[in-house]
Order: sequence, then structure tokens, then C-alpha cells
Amino acid sequence: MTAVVFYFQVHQPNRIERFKLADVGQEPPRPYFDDGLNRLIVERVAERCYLPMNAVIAEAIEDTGGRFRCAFAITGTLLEQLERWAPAALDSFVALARTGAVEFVCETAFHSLASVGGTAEARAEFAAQVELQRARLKDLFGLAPRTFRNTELILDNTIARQIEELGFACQLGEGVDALLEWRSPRRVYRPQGCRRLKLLLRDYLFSDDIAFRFSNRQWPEYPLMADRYAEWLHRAAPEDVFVGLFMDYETFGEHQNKDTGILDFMAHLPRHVLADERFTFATPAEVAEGNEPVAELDVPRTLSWADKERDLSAWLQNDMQKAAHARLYELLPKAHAAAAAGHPELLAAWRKLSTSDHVYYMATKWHSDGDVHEYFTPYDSPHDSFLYYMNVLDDLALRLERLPARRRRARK
Amino acid sequence: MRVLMLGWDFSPRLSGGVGTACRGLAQALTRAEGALRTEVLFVLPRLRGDEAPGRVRVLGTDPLELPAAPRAAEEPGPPAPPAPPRAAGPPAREPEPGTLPSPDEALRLLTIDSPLRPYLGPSDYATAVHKLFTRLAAAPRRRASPPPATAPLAAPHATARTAMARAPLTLPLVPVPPYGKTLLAEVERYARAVLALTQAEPFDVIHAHDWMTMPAGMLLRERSGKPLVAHFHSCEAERRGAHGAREARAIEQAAIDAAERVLCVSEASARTLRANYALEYAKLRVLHDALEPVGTPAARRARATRTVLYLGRLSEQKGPDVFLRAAARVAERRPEARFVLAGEGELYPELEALARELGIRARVRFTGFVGPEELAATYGAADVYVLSSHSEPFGISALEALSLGVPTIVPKGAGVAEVVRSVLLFEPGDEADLAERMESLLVRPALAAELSSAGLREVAGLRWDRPARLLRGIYAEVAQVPA
Repeated sequence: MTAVVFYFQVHQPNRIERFKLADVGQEPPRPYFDDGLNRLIVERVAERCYLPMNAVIAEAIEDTGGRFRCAFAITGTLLEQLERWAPAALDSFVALARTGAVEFVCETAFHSLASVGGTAEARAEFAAQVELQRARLKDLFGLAPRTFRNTELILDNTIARQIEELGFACQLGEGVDALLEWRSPRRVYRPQGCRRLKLLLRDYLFSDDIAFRFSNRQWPEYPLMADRYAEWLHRAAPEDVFVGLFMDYETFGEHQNKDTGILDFMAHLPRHVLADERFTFATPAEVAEGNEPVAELDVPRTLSWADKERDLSAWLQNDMQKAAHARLYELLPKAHAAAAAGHPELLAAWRKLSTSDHVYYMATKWHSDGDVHEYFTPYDSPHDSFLYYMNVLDDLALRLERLPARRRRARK
Repeated sequence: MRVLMLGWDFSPRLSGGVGTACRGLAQALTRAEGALRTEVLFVLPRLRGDEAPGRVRVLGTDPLELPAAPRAAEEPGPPAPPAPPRAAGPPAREPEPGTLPSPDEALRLLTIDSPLRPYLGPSDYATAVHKLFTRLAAAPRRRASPPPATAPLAAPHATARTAMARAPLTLPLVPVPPYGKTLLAEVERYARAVLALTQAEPFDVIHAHDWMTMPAGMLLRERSGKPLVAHFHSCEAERRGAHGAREARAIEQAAIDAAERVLCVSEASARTLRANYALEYAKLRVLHDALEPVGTPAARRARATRTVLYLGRLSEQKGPDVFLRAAARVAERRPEARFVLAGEGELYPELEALARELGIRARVRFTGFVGPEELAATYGAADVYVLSSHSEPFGISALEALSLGVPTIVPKGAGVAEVVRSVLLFEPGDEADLAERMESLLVRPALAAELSSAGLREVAGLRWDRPARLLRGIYAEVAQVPA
């Protein structure tokens, strides 16, 4: 049997304001986040993607008597936005959870780069963000998550070990050629140094057929129909345990709009896949439970699913990105101290600023994946996003500095 | 392919970006050998002695005696006798002493005595000519070249609209050529001079740079039947907006109508042309400017002060006042900030007064004119370079600054931003926005480092060979000979 494993990343960041140098240290404080824009976007995406696509999935589960199964990782930043601005979309995710056919995958609540923050403080923050998300998922969906996926599938040996220590049974990763070499992404692996954790990798060829090529009119296979795609899946070797189709949920209706036929494609796919009895759908945790690893995988270099480099260069390549990242983590101890001293709002702000999208917007890969970065950014240029971000960090730093004095005065 | 190019002074001193662009293009065009060989006869107003060294040959000398304008014959008074150019015979084969006498040079220069300068307006012209006369009168007369026997004091005036134009000028000790009385008259006189001096020259294409040379281009096109390429480094709508000289606009429109191809320096400029002139879209081509290296980036020394540089003509279009107002805002917040305005121009006294009024005179330095040999050092001493123009069809100086690793700010919509992305953009005319960018570059070393290193990489590929290659294709198209 071969399981088709759909896992959807569902995420929206809190985009920041066009924060000027002169805004730093102002009283009353200037808001950091552009909630007008954030609301606008989440409402739009809920309408185009989350609501209609959740309906497609609910129907697929019902039509197949629960044989269609899939997994979601909804970031904490998005969950909060849905609560505030698109509660109907949040309800529809909760309804999917009740079908029992959907797994909710854990990650850092803030879709952050804490796993590569580099300091002991960052490692602790990583664990804290994971626990926050774990508790929230349990609370919202009634299930303790068993699978973990790190921000944008960022993975190396160290991260995998930490995930195992945090008690997860399964982790998702990118099926990078350089890592797999001759091996197939369709087997279960174990990251080197782990004893229990199982690693499920993305089949990037099959995933990107849906996520990127589906709407590309230059693609020889255009237009791709569900029966044809199911036929490709059916060519899997008998020993292929699963096919990992991991992608942004916004692929359906937002990155590729309704008119491309992407929603209809997904509506028809389950039936065609199940037409061959050797094929099923499963969630990552189910695959991990039913299969032992075939080998250990050594991941010394940090990998991700981003850009053609499949490494950290989407976030931490140029001087601006490195400076912004370093400055953020420099403030972390103070943000923790502030929270301990009764100012949790400053740590909350720090955490929203830890979302990886902020440094992603600063990428200057004009020639390779520039288009993708440009598609997502709300700013005019990577330089602007750096400036606004650094100004916000300066403001936060100032408020973190002022705290002790304020407290002393309060005590008197 | 033989090109008759109606260009401008090779030196940036007199012509700004258009001179730099003309030199870059002409030199890149003539570098190729074999099937791609392109010969350029480069005609420009008045030799100043600071053209590109070597490898060029000077044809004409001043003063000129010109054939009378056809229109002059209709006017009262004795018709002027048509006189051949002073350089008798085919001038190409008669090298001047002191220049390289290699007859097979691909690039030859022909200078024509004229006070024309790019960017002159009708009102500046009178001032410019007056200044020139004063300077000539004050200067000791050069004895190296024999004084013209046929002192042009009574020489026939090419345009000869009035008797006044032919009247002797009032500076008897100076060999004053018969310049046009107004800018328009001079443009017309120049056109006839070009026609007279190039009669013996073979060429396949005429290429005219900016409006003042376009009447010459049109005249040559009419007489020779060869195709005309009209190259707009800026158009009147960009230089002076709605206040543009009507005559200049009319000439631009006529050239656009006549030319086989219309070139401009950016997509932005193409949009302006299309919005302001009747223009057949199929004629239009965008030829982005490029960079001729001005030096190599030097290691930066740590300095207590930080310098923001303006470099260019001190003229309204370039927005030096916006620069100063932004500087005042930055100065208030950053005691280490200093500001340099390099360049000369008619606005200097006003700008000096503005700096005082803003209370930043002590932190602003006006350097006056910066020669080509000082360019690299001027850029190199800056921490930030600002192109503060209200409108900038291209903005070659931004490429120069980037090529020396200097982080650069340019106005949104500047043509240069179409070819490099490692620049900060500001809203044209918005001093608060510009101040924000200037200060950001002073306080964010990571941004400065990124713009510097990425900028260097970006401009590395932007040499004149690329537009020259495109241009050869355009010549071939209009001349219908294989490139």
C-alpha cells in the first residue's frame, strides 16, 4: 500500500508598519503592526482559500467515508488573526478537526527562526514557542499534536534531536536531492542521532506539480487534470510507503486563483486516487506509526524547502538579513526579563517580530527566486522592509531599556 | 557602417550626462572590428581641449565661414558668397598638428565653433554668450594659431534674419565668430555649419543627440537622404516641465516626425515622450545609459563625520534645494552629518543663501566645478550619494557612485532604477522622505554595506558595450545594411 500524504502549511505573518526613524521612542508608542493591511489580507485569503478549500476538503472526507485524510499546520500568528478577523474560517478548521480525518501538525507558534537563533536563549525560546503552539492546538482542536514541522521545513540533526526531546514522534522535511542522493523520498527515515523520531520528506516533484506548475500555461502538461495526476501517482513503486505532497494551503485559491481550476482539481483528486485499491490517504502521524525507518539520514547542514538553494539563504543571506536577525536575538534576553517583570506585551511584540517573513522580505535574490519573494512582500523594496523592521526593533529596544527605571519608580 | 554623430562635448564639465553618454557610446561603437566595425564621425560644438585623449583626429577649426543660408538670399543686402570650409579639400585627410594622424581611426572628431551647450534655455543663451565674450576679451590672445585673416567681424551671418545679425560685433580685439543672436538662431546656424563641413564626408546614418543638434540632423537627412536617429537624453518636458521653451518642443516634435528612429534612455523617459509628443510607437527604442569606470573603490577610512554628497549641475531640475532642505532635517538629528554640493550652476547664490537660512551653512560645502580627474575622489569621500532630481530620465552619476561602492539614493521613477535595484528610492521633491533615507543610510551600516556590495556587483555588467550593440542593430535596421 502507498499512502498519499497531503500536508498544508497555513500561515499569515503580522506585517509591520512603515515605521520611521522619528517614530522610534514616541509617546504614545506607535503601533508596530499594520493591522489594517493584515486584516485586509486575512479576510481576502479566508474568502478565496480557507473557506472554499475547507469546504472542498470536508466534502472529500464525507464522500469517501473518511478515506480522504490530510494534515494542516496553522501558525499561531494566523490563528490569532482568524480569531480576530475571520472567525468563520477558524470555525471551519475546527469542523474539519471533528471529522477525525485531519491531523494538526505542530510548529513554532510564530513561524520563527528560533531554531537557528544560535544562542542558548534562542533554543529555550524555540521550545517555548513550540509549547505555546502545542497547547493552543490542543485547546482549539482537542488533540495533542504528534507531528512537528519546523518553519518552512527548516531541518538539521540538531533541530531533529531537539524535536525528539520535545516529545514528537514524527517530523516533516524537504526531500533535498543533496541529502537523499540515490535514496527515495518515499520512505521513512530517522535523522542521525535520534532514537524514536521518524522523518517524512516532501516529494518536491509531485508537490510542485500542484503548487507551482498547475497554473503555468507554458508547462507541457498544462492543463493538469485530476485523473491524469492520479495516474502519475499510481505509477509509484510497490515499496513506496508514501508520497509526501507538502505545500502552502494558499496554493488553492490565493497563489493560484479559483479560475485556474485548482479547487476543482482537489475536489476530484481523492476519488481518482482511491480508484486504485493499492492507494490510500494518510496523515503524517499515521504513516510514522505504521512504518519503521529504512535508514538514518545525516543532516549536518541546515535545509529548508525555500528557494532553489533549499537552505537558509531565503532569510539569512545578505548583510541586512543577518543584521536584523542578530539584533532581534540580541533583544531576546531583555524581552524575557521584561515578561518576568510584568510586561508580557513586550515579549509578545518580540515574538511577533520573530516571524521569519520579516527577514524573508529583505532578500535580494533578484535573479533566482526574486519573483517569489516579491510576490509575498508588502513593501516597495527589500531595503525598505529592512529599514522599517530595524526602526521597530530600535523602538522595542528603547522600551526594554526603560523598563527597570519605570519599575523602580513604581516601587517608591 | 559609417555614422555621422551629432554629439556634445566629451567632457562632463560642459555637458553633464549627455556628454558622458555620447563619449561612452561613440567609443564603444568604434571598439569593434571586423564585420561589426563602425566608424563614427563625431561632430560637436567648440573644442575645449579636454576631449578624450589620443585616438581622435580633429577636422575643423574655428572660426568658420559658412555658406549663406538660402533664406538670406531673399533678404535685402548683398548675398553672402558661399565659402568652402577653411579646412580645404576632404578635411578627413588633413590632420591637425598635435593630433594623431592615423587615417583609419574609427572615431574622428569634428568640432564646430559654437557656444551651444546642452541644457541651455533661450534666456540662458544670451548670458552664456555674453560671458563667453567677456572671457575671451579678458584672456590673452593665443598666438599659437594665426589670427584669422578673414576676421569674421563682417562675416556673413548664417541665419541673417536681420541686418543687425550681420553687423560687426562690438569687441574688436577678439576674433568673435558670428554666433547666432538667439539660441534658436545659433541652433540654426550650427545646423548649416555642420552641413557645410560634412559635405565631403561619407556616412550611412545620422545620429543626433538632444534637441539642439536635431535641426542639423534633419537638414543632413534632407540633403543626403540618409536615415536619422534622434536620441533624447532628456526632452523639454523633462527638463523644464510645462515651462519648457515652445521652440525647443517644436524642434523636438519635428525631429520625432522626421527621424527613422527615436531613442530615449529609459522606459520612464519613453512614457514621458509618448505623453508629451505625437510619436509613432514603432519608431521608439529604449537605450539605457551605461557606465564608464571613473575609478576603483577605495578602502573606507573611519571618520568622525559622515558625508552626504550631491554632484551635478546646480540647476532646478536636479533639485539641489530639496537636497539642502533634507540635509537640514538630517543635520538636526545627526551631529556627525556633513553635506557636500559638488558642481556649478546658476542656482549657486540662491543655494548658498538657502543653506544659511536653514542654519546649516557651516556643515555644507560647495566645491564648485569637479573635473573628471577629481570625480573618483569626490565620490570616494562620500558615505552617501544623492541624486535629488525632480525628474531624471536616466541618472548616470548614480552608476558612477555605485561603481565606487557608495550607497546611493535616487528619485522614484529615475531611469537608472530600471537597471539597478541596489539603490534607495525616495519620492521626488519630498524632502522629508529624502531626509529619512539619508539618515537611514548613516545609521544602518548593514544597509549601507548591502547597497555598496550589491551595487558594485550590479554595475559591473553595465558597460557601454551593451547599448552600443543594440545601437548597431538599430543602425542596421534603418540603413538596411547588415550589422
